[in-house]
Formats: sequence, structure tokens, C-alpha cells
Amino acid sequence: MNAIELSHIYKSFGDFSIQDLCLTVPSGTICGLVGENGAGKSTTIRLLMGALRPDSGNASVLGVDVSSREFLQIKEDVGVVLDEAYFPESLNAIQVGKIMAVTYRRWDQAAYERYLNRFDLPEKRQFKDFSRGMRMKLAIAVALSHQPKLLVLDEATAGLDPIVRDEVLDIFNEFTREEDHSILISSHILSDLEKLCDYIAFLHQGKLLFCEEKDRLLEEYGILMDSAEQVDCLLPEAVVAREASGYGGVRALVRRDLAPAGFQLEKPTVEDIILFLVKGAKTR
Amino acid sequence: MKALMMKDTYVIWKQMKFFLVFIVVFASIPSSFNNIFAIVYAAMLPYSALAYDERSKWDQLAAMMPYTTRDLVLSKYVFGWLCIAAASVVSQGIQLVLSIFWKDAQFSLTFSLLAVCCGICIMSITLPLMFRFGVEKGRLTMFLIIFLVCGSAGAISSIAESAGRGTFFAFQEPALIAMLATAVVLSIVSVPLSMKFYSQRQV
Amino acid sequence: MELIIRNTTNQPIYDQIYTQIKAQIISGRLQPGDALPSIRALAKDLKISVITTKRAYDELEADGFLYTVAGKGCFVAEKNLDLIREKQLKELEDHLAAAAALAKTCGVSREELHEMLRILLEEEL
Repeated sequence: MNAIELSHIYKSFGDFSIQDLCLTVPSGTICGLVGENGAGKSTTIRLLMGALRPDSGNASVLGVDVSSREFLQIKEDVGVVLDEAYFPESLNAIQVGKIMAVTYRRWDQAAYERYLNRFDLPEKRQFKDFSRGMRMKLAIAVALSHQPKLLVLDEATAGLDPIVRDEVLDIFNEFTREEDHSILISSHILSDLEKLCDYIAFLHQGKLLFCEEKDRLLEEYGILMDSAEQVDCLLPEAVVAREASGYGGVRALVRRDLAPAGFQLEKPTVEDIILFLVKGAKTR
Repeated sequence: MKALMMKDTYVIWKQMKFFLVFIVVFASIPSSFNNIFAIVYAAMLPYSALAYDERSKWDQLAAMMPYTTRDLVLSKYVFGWLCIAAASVVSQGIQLVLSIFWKDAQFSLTFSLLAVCCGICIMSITLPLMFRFGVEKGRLTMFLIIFLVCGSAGAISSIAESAGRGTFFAFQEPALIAMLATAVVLSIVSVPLSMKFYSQRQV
Repeated sequence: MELIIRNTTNQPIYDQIYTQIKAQIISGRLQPGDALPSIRALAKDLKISVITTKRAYDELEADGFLYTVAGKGCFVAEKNLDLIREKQLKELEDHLAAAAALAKTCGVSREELHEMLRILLEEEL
């Protein structure tokens, strides 16, 4: 069973549309959803949780169709952290805990309190006095405290300082030690996704350009830094995109399988790959 | 639904405490008309809760939690009805006590029931508007409706008083029955309508 | 078990895992029957993708260096026996291939060949 299955989803909103979105997140894996602002990441998340109805196509989560009545039960198994939607700001952490205890069947108050402690969150302060990072931490604490099988995280690490971010990524990593636990995480912070994810899905202007195993992606490409003439020696199909330094040098993303053996290629980062792919798409 | 009502209570708790003081003060003024203020304020509390919800985009998050549309909408109604009932009880309680000590103070069960019906009617009209147009746009219409309802209640009440006790008492029973019926009918229509508007907003 | 992932080389991670475990099995540092960490546990401990550890383990299993017991985990395979078995299977295949080729040249049909094999096997028993 796949944790998430989106097939041929179309949704249009006037000036923006999601076209033919097909995304599968196998159970037990972590999928990173990448894309620039406005690419459709939050929309995709709303579509897959049934908060938005698609114009056409199917979405299913944990094996259940999102538009069916049974999906209500499945929401018990999904922990959600959203980018701009929170608990009403006049609430505090204790009150949220009490509300969630009556909302979710498998609410674990002890686990919630442990997270509040671990994240250093004040129990009685109202959310309107929380920083963005604190709000995120609280949302994460809530999402993890009802024994979910799937975590859906929209920019969950933005606004966190690097030390806490690392800790949170660790928690997410640990979450998937169980083989039926999965995560879909959308983020701008590509370095986070690189550490954490099994798959990287790249959304660009409403279209999914690719969804690939992160490690294979990193194996597929290499970075070449050399003179423009050298780069010109390569097959045009091999060069995904290039950026000139203005002094005769070029930095290019190259497909390893199409580059001759002699060339020294550097290991790319996910960020490199995405940036070059976008560049390449633009020039085409 | 219990979770949602708990949330709404927590959200506007401060306001409710202030409201309590407000009721007590007004109820202490001998005039049966002041009931209406307490009830109308109570009828506005769900709107207040909705306003807080909208500010933090709670409905987007709630859509991903195990709440049904029915829970999300009906909880606001039940919350409102309970507030109205509580306001009525407190307000009437105080007036009852006062009427024992002061001959001037009036106590009229019928009148308080009429006020409750008014409150329920206000809610039944304003909530669907809130769900349809959102809190900001619905706000103006809401105040308009409250003004109308209070205004007409005030007008009727002063007409009744000037017409003399007799006429007033004569009209009470049929007026009450009519109001009760209106309140029930409006509520029965209002709830499904709100649910429809709410689920349309999501799409 | 020692497993060091290096980013200083261009060697794919799954390949690094494969090579290092294989080397330790051959050198004897990992003995037959030793339990290996599960695919998930290894991935989480090393902070790498489970897909990658699975790929490494799948290749090790295909090459006969480890085997999986459902519900229990992965264990180092008996290397000697496996190598021998592999050789034997190869030999058997070669023999059968030769028999098939010969049958073709002298016009023995498939059914006749099957029959011959069946009789020979019965005689063994």
C-alpha cells in the first residue's frame, strides 16, 4: 500500500493551475516536495488531504480515497503541520493539548508534554506571543502526539534555528524507523531535504517535473567547473544547464552517463540539481 | 464536536468573563428591556469565535483533522445557544432576586423567553452569512440585523408599554408562540444552509 | 560491523555499503550466521535513505553473501557453501546446455529428452 497516491490531478484557479499531477509516496519512505513559491506545494498538500476538491483525478492516502467517507477515520492517522494555518492565537499549549485529547482517539498526553519540554515551549503563554519558530515547534509536537502513520509537513522547518532544525529532522528520521511510517515534507530548505528524504519531487509552475530517488539523483549528475571551451566539448544533451562566470569559466550540471570518462565531475547537491534544472527549463 | 466547543470556549474566555460582568451590571438596572442586550451579546459570541478562527486560518488546519463539516458548523450553533441560555439564566436570576427586594423591578418569564428567541433568530440569520462571506464582510450585515432586531423589539416593547399593561399581557402568549415557532424554523433552515456554505468555501 | 560512508569519493553510497560488507564477509570479520542490522535500522543510524540500504542488501543477497529470514532479519550467508553451490549450479547448467545442444544436432525431440532425464532420475532413486 502506498502512503500517498495522487493520479492525474488537475485543479485550476484562474491564473494558476495544477496539471496532471501524479505522485506516489511508497509506504515507509520520506518524500520531499520542492518548488519555488507559488509552484503549488501547499495546494498539493490541501488536495491530498481532501481540503480542496480537484477538478479531475484521484487522490488516496493510506489506501483510502480522499473524497470518500472513510477518509475521516484516516485523518486520525495523519499528523499535519501547515505553513500559515495555526491554532487560534488566544490559546495556549495546555489548552491545545486538552482540545486535541478530545479530537484524536489515540492522543498521547505524555508524549505531548515530553515534546513541549524538549522544545522548551512555555505551557501557559498565548500563541499570539509565540515566535514563528515556536509555533512550528508546537504544531510539530501536536502532529507527533497522536501516533500517526503519516506526517504531512508544509514548510515545517522554516523559521527554526539550525540547532533545533537539526533536532527536528532527527525526530522525523526516527519517526520512519517503523516501516509503516511515512512522511511528505515540502520545503524551501533543500539542505534539510537532502539529509532526510528518500525521494525528491520537484514541482514547477503546477507541474511535477520529476519524482526520483534522492541518491540516484545525486548519482546521475555531476558538476563540472572548467573553461567554456572544455564544456563545449561535451554533447549538448549531456549539459543540463550552465552558468558563466564572466571570466571565461563555466559551471555546468552534467549527466554522468553522457559525459566521457575523462572529465572530473564534482558531487552535486540537491540544490545544485534543482537550480540548474530550473535554469535549463527556462532557457528551453 | 466537544473538542470544537471546548476550543471556542477557551478562545473567547476573556471576552466571556467581561461579558459576565456586563450582564450583571445591566441586569441590575430595573428594566426588562435590558435582557435583550445580554442575549444579543451572547448571540454574537459565535461570531467572535469565528473571527479568531479566521485570523489564524484555523479552518485550513481543521480541514485536515478528524472533524466533519457538521461538527465544525453545528458546534458554533450549539455554542451560541448555550451562551444565550447562560446569559438568560444569569440575567433572569439577578432580576428575579431584585424583584423580591424592589417592587419596581419586573420579572417576566415570557419576556425573557422572547429575548432568547430573538437571540436564536439573530444567530440563525447571521451565522450563514458569516460562513458564506467570511467574518469581515459578514460583520456589517450582522450589525445591521442586530440593529433591526433590537430596534423592532424596542419599538414593540415601548408600544406595548404605552398601550398599557392590559394589552401587553394580552399579546404576550401569541407573541411568544409566534417567536418560538420562528426561532425553531429559522434554526432548522439555518444549520443546513451554513453547512452548505461552509463546504463550498473549501472548494 | 564497521561501515564508513565517505563523500570524498564519487562512489555511490549503495556501492560503498555493498563493497565494505562484502569485504568483511570475505575477510571473516563477519562470520556466517552473524546478524546484520535491518535495512531500516541501518538507514536511520547512518542517516541515509532506506532505498539505498535496501539496494545494497538486495545486491548482497543476489550475490549470495546474505540471506533474509522473514520476521527475523538479515544474516551473513555461509560463504563457502554458497560459492561451491554457485559453481555447481553453473556446472549443472553447462551440462544441461551441452545435452540440449547435442539433442538438437542428433534430432532428439524435447519430449524424448525429458523422458530420458526422467528415467535417469528414477534410476537414481
